[in-house]
Amino acid sequence: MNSPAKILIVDDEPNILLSLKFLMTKAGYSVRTAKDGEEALAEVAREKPDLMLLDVMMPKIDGFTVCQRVKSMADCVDVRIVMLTARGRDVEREKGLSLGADDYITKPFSTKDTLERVAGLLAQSKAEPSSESAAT
Amino acid sequence: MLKQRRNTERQIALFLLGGVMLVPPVLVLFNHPDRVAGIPSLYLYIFLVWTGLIGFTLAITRRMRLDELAARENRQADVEPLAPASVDGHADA
Amino acid sequence: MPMLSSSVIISVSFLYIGLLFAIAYYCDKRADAGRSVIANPYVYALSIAVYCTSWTFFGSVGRAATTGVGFLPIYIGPTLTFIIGWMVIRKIIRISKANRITSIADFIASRYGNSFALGALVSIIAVIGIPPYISLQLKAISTSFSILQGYPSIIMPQDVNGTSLLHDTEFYVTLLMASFAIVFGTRHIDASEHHEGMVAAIAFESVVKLVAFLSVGLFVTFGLFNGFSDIFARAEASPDLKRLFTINGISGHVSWITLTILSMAAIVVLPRQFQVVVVENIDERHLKKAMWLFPLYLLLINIFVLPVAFAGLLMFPDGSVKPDTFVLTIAMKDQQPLLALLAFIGGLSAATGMIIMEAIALATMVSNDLVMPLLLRMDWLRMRMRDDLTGILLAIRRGTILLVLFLGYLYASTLGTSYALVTIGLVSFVAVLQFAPAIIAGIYWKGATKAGALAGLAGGFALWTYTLLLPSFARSGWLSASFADHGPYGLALLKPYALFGLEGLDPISHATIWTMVFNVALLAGVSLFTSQSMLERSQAVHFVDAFKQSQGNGGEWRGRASADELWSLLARFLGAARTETALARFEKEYGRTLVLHGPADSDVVSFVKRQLAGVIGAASARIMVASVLREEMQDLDEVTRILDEASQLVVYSRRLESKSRELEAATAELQGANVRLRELDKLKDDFMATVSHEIRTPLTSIRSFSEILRDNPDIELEERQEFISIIVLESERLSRLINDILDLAKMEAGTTQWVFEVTDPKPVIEQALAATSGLFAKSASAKLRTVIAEKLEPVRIDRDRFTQVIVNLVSNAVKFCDRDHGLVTVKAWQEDGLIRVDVIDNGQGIAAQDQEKIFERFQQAGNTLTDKPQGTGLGLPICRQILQEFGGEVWVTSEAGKGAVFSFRVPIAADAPATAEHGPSLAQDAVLDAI
Repeated sequence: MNSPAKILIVDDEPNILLSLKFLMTKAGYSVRTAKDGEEALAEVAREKPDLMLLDVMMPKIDGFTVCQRVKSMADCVDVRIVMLTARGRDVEREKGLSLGADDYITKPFSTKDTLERVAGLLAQSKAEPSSESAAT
Repeated sequence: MLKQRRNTERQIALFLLGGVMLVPPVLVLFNHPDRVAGIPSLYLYIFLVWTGLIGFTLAITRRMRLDELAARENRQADVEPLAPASVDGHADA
Repeated sequence: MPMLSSSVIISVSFLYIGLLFAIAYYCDKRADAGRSVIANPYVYALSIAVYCTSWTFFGSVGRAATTGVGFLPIYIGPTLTFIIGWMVIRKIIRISKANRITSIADFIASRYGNSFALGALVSIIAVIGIPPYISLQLKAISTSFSILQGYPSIIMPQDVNGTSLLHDTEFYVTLLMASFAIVFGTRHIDASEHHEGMVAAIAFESVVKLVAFLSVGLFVTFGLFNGFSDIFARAEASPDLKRLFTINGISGHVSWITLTILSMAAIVVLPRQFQVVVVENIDERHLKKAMWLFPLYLLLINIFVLPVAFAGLLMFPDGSVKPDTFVLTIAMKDQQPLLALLAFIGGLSAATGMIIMEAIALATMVSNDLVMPLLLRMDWLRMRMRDDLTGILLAIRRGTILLVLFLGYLYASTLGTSYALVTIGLVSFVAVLQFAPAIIAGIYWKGATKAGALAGLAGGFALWTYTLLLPSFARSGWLSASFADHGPYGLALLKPYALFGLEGLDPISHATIWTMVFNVALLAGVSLFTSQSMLERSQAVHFVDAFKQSQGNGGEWRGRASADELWSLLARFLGAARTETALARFEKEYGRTLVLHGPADSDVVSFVKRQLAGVIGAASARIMVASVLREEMQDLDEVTRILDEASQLVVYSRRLESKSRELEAATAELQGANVRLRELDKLKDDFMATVSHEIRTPLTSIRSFSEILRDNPDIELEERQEFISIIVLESERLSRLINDILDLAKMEAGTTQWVFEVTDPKPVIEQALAATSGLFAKSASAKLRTVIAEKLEPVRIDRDRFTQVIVNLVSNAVKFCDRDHGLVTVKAWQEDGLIRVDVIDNGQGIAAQDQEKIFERFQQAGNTLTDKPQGTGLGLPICRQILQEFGGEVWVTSEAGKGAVFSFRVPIAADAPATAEHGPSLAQDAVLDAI
């Protein structure tokens, strides 16, 4: 293993942010946080994360928009994005996935489940670059 | 109804025929002083056409009456008795 | 050799006329007894032969002697008309019977909306146009009498200077005819009833004149000559006579055509013809026989005209004997006094038939369409008040008969000598021809208007006067002769016999052409540019669609409508009160009480029709009644046209208009409601999503930290403490949220228990503020300032809810006030019967567009701001609900950057409306307001 995977957590609820930060740090990832969409985009621009945990309902710029913008950045196509939502409607899930999100987690979430999904996505992305290059 | 209309059409046709035959320019065709059977051709022609018109009118009215009688018999089955039969009906019968 | 002295001739004449009286009298008696003699198609056809007057009897021979076949169009025209009689004449008969038409003036007036002007104009034209024709008959009688009494010598009247004798004869004949017409023509007042005796006498006369003429014809052709060929062969020898074998020149042909047209119309529009063909018709089926029988009569009476004319010309080659008298003089010349007498009687019968019928027709016309309407219009005569107008009506009729015959006599004695018989007759033909366009358009063109008919008639009549009447005056010396020959003031273009340069025609053709051009053009042109009144239109439809209407004269409906229905129909048009009066009148009139249920009898139907006719006109009344009687309405067009115009319908359509406007408004409202419903639906969805989000958010923190604590027993104590307190805080937030949601839901559903009491608000406000002290304690900088009035009137409130409002507003203010120098001011005072409380903060303020939104659920202003403030987003909606329950209100005033003022007020108890008791209903409204 090289350097730990970089995770950016975005949520406007400080307590949720705190709990996710604790979980991810504990799991050995390098964690950064942002409390709204604007901050999140700035963080992504500063340093590309491997994975983002992105809340949907946020002031200023919502999660969907952030997701779309990140995915449209030239070098960020491979950033894994997990959407977090408290609304829990299928329409939103579809919308998130269609905008390029890799997974979708409904609040309140199970910590164990969340960690597993994050680990799974990161493992996948590690394997993918080779398969992607093979494909191309 | 259809027969009635037919008779009406016949009357109009006869009217037009008479109108054409008894008025110039057709009349001019016979407008010369020769005599036919001892009678001036124009006189003879006019009176013959005239008689013909009356004869055809008689035929048409007779036919109308027959059609009417037939229609009346058909109707009589389900309708209350009509007004007494026309006097001309008796007269002709 | 028997002599034909005056006394013999006069005796025979009187015997003949006496026979007529007898026939007429007998037939009238028979008719009164119900055994009609004239209910017979042969009598009908013979009565129509009144068309053949002395003009035919003597005049045809005269005209034949000068123009050859030129007399024939006069009889060919009627033959053609009768071929289509079943369509045209029967239609006129049908219409006339339905409308109880009494004369041609009545017919035209009725068609054009019962127009008095038209009826009067037609009557006047007839009275001016017909006397020459009557004078012609008088002249024929006097002339033939004068000649016959000269027997055995043949002396033309003027040769013996017998003018005064002639006039005397004419005068006596006039009186005799007048008395006959008066006795048999004015027996009944109801002109639409049949003059049975008259008609029978006329029919008898038709037989006499035919027999007389055929006798003369047969005698001449086969007695004096050897048949037709012989006469024509001898005539051929003379170039002058041979010329008559053909029609000569364009003028001859034009004359042929115009005479044909003229006589086609005349057979119906001559007043006496209209009388016998239409008014006196008893059964329209008789027409069927007349269609060929009458033309046959015409043919028979004309067969010997040419032979007699040629015989006369051959027998009197020197021209000393007038061709007009050949029928009489040939018999005289051959010493046949009985035949001559028969010829005289034939001429007499032809003349008297015409005179009598014409006089009666004109008398009816003048009394019904000219004099009576005038008298009724003269209010000062109080004619309407009289119960019985019979006497007056009869007097008018009798007066008219005398007047018309006297006019004829006058014309004969002053002007008549200047014309040949036929020409005089044709002058009248052209006059009555003016009626034809109005009648034909009337029964075939719904668009013909009263104005058009008036214009056409007036125009045609004016031209007739100018091209025929005035020149005849000129010839008689009443006007300067140069008027006729050179035109007025020598204007050649206005020459009466060559108007506008139309030269080379005989005066009759010339006048026919010009009068018809003007008449038809004016009728059509004016009709196209004028409109019809309602009555006119309904009559037009009625006339044109005569055959489409039900045939029954009232017999078919029997038992199909109840009297009740008819009376309610009447009530629709008259109103209840007038219908009551009408009902009373009916019972008085018919001397019986009316049974409202049960089928209506003919009395009721006709009474209702009459009442209605007084309101909406006869034709419309008929249609309305027919609709109730469920008579088949065969022509929708008719109904729509009538209804179209009915004033009732105008009202209905106005109502309909306003209804449709209302409907439009309702539709718009519904559409609005629909849009609003969809919005509400969306709002509900949004609300559910928002509630879901608001509840899941604290739940997420609680679950996460709980799981973290569970899965990580090795967490340090400090961190553990922090996590646990987060769990507690989030749990509190969750329960607060749930409380608020339930609170609001209950309030909106109206299930909240309110504990109202009338209380002094001051201590309640103070206690509420005390409860918020904890908020200020927590906040580092915020301070509270209170400005509460000394004394506040008591209000009717629920203490707890009131406290809740103040706590909510104050905690909001604390949340949003300036972070470093926070200041919350609470003011309370009294204004206009209300207690007013303001909670003022010095925070960022609220943008104008958000000021109303923040009172909606989960619409915190903070959502769009940088920092997410704490709170459920339900505080302000709850405040609004509570204050609505109190009968007060809450609102915010703010300027961005200058803080916000949340104000509320509640009414003072005395004035407080008792809304609280039925809170639920108000609360329901509030739900709607809130969403």
